[in-house]
Amino acid sequence: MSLIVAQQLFYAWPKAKHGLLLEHFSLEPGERVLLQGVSGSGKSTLLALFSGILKPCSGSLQLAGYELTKSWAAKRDALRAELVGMVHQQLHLLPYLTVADNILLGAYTSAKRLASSRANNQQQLRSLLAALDMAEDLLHRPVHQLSIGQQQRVAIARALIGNPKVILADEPTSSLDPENRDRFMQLLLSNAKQLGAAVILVSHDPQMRQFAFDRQLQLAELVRMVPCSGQN
Amino acid sequence: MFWTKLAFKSFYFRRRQQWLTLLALTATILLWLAVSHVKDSSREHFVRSISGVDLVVGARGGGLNLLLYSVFRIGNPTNEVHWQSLQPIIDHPRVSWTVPIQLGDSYRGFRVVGTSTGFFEHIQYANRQSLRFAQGQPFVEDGDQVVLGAEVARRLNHQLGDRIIITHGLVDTSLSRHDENPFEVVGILERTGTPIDQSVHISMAALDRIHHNWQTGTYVPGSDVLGRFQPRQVTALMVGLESRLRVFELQRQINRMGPEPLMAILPGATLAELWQMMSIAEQALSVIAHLVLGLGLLAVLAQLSTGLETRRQELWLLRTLGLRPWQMLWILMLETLLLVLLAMLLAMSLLSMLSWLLQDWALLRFSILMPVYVPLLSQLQQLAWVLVLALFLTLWPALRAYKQSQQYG
Repeated sequence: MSLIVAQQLFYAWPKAKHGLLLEHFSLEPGERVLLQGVSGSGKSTLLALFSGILKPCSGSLQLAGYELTKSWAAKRDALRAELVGMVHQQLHLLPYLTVADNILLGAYTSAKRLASSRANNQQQLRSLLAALDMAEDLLHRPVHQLSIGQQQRVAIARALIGNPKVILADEPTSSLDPENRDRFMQLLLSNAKQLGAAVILVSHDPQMRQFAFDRQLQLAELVRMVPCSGQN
Repeated sequence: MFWTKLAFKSFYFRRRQQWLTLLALTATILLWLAVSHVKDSSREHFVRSISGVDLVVGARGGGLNLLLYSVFRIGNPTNEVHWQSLQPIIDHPRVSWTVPIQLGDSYRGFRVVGTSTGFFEHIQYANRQSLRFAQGQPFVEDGDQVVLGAEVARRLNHQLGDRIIITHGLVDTSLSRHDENPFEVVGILERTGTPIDQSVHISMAALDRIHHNWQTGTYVPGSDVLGRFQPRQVTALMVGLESRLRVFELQRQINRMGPEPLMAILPGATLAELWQMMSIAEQALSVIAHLVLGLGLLAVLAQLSTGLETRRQELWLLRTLGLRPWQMLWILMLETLLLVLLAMLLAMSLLSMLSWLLQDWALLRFSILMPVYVPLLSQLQQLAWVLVLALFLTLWPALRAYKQSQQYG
């Protein structure tokens, strides 16, 4: 079964005359997809729709078999908590929590993910750190003591903890130099593969094509801007 | 648990911004508590100061005034009554006992009360408790002896056997001291929490004797008169009846007595009059205190709303992680809960401290014993409602925050 299936998905921004129409898109489990597009082309909106943060106006959008267009906000929140890990443009680590708690934030919203993160004798936190080349003694430090590179890895660990089904990443490397970007992408993709998580990464950066994606799509080919009246 | 911990940590992280809100809220709750504390304790003070006295008789005038100066030592007596006019009351068959009170002199800032030994026998306070001696015994009639209230002895550090000099009038100037009549301290009363603690008790005869020498305003040596003492004038007469059943009848009789115009009041009824007068001021105060409390809650709401702006990223992140609406609500309400609870605790401890510090000042300035503040159950109940209201008010910005966190990036 496909992880994400979108059919004639339409979303109109509040008080806007235009909306975004996605005729068809599907994502298989474990698949890694790069979506490329210039800024303002609706990349972030698309990820917000896939994660259930925004509610589509019409059409069909299924996340792991659940129809998001017909779900309450709280149900969509619960699905996101359980199935989705997100990595953002800015890192958004909470400054008042330790590294360990920042990572565990990703699991605490879902009982399943929390259980999963604790399944291997509470080892996932440590194995994630090891996989991300971080020393274990970092866990109980406040995040502001970490370097930018380390903070990025904390953000990856937060998205991956508790084995979500899909990672949604929105321009995660836009503030990085090429060297750090390459390292970040390599860690993200390899760790997602190891845990069996699918990845959708949206970026405007042409350099992204060099990484190991299963599919690379241009956003312009996928979505169209249509006037609201034309939709209904 | 995790979200509770998170809310606490977030709150602590933003403590610099919370500080002023906490201060404002503490001040408003403090004001609110203080108003009701002063109200309660002044009532308590008035109520406990008089007990077991059925009638107070004095010169005709304001009943409230008579009660205030004769029992609470507030204000000054306007008129005195001749002893002969009171004789029918003292001899009245229904009267069980009488105790005269004469005011007008002071000893180092404390009122001197001329009275009889019956004072220590019949005057009661609080819930029909009799006066007790911490040390010593009553003065003998006509002796150069005084009995001190507990506060007088403590503050002036007097012991039994000390000799003190009474001042003529209420202002202590060296010119008007009755130097020639030193009095010996023969008794110190136990603390009562009433104006008796601030009084110096002396026999009517002794008081009259020192005044006798001052007839022309200056001391005339050798004019002392010996012989059987009869007080000429008194400020008030405390009356105890055989049975309280006929108290109104006797009151009417006294009010009609002649030739000197007399007045008898029932302490309880006159106190009720006082409450009625005070209730307008009390209500005004308490309305203001409630309004201020409302403003304090608005301050919390304002703080929370601006706080939400600065916390937009934080809340948005929590949403992307899949935080449910009620979890978000809990995090935001916990913040209000913390602020309000902290402010309440602070206000209560501050008021306890302040009331302890200002106790002496209130006693000296207003002759009112203000007990140290202890939280009352009724106040805690009201504060619980304030808390509920605050949480209810939080709902609105919290729901707005949830809505807003859907639209970011």
